[in-house]
Amino acid sequence: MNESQLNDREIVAILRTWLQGASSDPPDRSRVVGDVVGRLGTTRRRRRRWWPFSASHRAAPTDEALATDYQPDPIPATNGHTTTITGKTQSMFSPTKAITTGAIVFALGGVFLVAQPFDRQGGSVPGAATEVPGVETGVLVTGGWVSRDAAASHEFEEGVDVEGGFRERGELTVGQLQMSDERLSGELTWTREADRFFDPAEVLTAADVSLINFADVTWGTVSLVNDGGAWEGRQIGTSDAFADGASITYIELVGTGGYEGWSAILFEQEGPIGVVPWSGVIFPGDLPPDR
Amino acid sequence: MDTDLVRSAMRGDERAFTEIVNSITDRFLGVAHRILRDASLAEDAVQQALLTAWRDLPDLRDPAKFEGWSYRILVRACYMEARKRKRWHPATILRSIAEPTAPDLIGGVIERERLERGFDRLSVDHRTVLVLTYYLDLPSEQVAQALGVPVGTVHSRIHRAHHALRGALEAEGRDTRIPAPTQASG
Repeated sequence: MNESQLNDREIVAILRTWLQGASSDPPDRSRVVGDVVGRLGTTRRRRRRWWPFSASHRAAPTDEALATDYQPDPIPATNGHTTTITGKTQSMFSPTKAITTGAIVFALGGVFLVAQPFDRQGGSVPGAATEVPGVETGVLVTGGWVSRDAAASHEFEEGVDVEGGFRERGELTVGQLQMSDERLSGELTWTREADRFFDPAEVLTAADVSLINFADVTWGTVSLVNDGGAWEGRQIGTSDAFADGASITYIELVGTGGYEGWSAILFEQEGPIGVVPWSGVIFPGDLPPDR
Repeated sequence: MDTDLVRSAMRGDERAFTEIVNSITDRFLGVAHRILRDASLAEDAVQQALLTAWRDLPDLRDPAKFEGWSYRILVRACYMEARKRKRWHPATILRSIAEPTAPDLIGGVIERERLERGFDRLSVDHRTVLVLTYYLDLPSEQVAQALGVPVGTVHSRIHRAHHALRGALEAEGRDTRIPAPTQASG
């Protein structure tokens, strides 16, 4: 019997036996452990994000500056919507940073005030102490995927190889999005189509295709649902093959139900491993006409 | 993984993280060695992965998810090391067949050495999905998390990896009958 006569189950059994067997010439464990432990003290660690409008982080404080009971007040409500800071924000928040933050927000609020259509000007500035009820305004938002239900991604058409490219169709992902504004938090359904481009000549000569950096164009639909209403829209982006920070996706959403009359423009920018932050703006009115 | 240990390490406790390192290094080296097929590269990849985990631990939101989160860092580090590897040349993987000996068969069918060479021919993508699935015995959902792709993509890659392995084994069967090309001088 040769390998062409083996079925998949037999291949799997053989592969599993071989992989789980002892390897000849194993790596040097003691060198690795020694090197890592020796560098712990000199390796700079990430600081938890302190931006008060971001999703909550539940890290314990690591120094006195973090161990504060100061809780930033939510931005004064406009149109009944309050920017929610969920959980106890034990971030690196100090009075100095609070003042700086307020100044930045006040300046940004001025930008929004000018940028809004004239018939909507005169509204409140985010972060301002005085609340003007009934006025709608745009708000910066940050956040990202909290979880993705990989099990829901079962509707997927296997990619089709074509000369000079590769296609993926029908990928579906469902998960939870958590943004600094609760109107944009909830269950997110995301479809993705992708065309992947590479040089066929390079593929033919490369021994390891995975070392070739592809150029991806991706697009699909986006749906977001929560108790307050729903959003529908699309996403379009670019990516490379290596998940190394070169991917960015543009997302536009139009509100329905309780969010009718609102729109959102967001960007998903791939960051360090495990971090895919979103940022953008939720605002009253239609999406920009020229796009 | 002890979540209290992870929590302590998240707060900067070096002793806690050292304990974590001691408990996972063997497994990490096993994964990296099988993906990269080179002990030195595997050592570098694991070292990088562990230091990255130490650096990025404050960003981990749920200590209970440390295992999946760390596998993803490890896979990423393996990909980075694989990029540093010199381009494969046909002459470098052909091994001279010395004195004929009784073949060391896996499953009574495939010679171990031929399986090793065939596995060497696979892409890093294919080796990674096979190692996570058949060496670590991770379910598809965890493989998807480690690779940062949907489960559908995992299934697709496994299927392709099986297909590629069959092709690689067939190619090995042909190549052992072909002498290695001589390299031009200069």
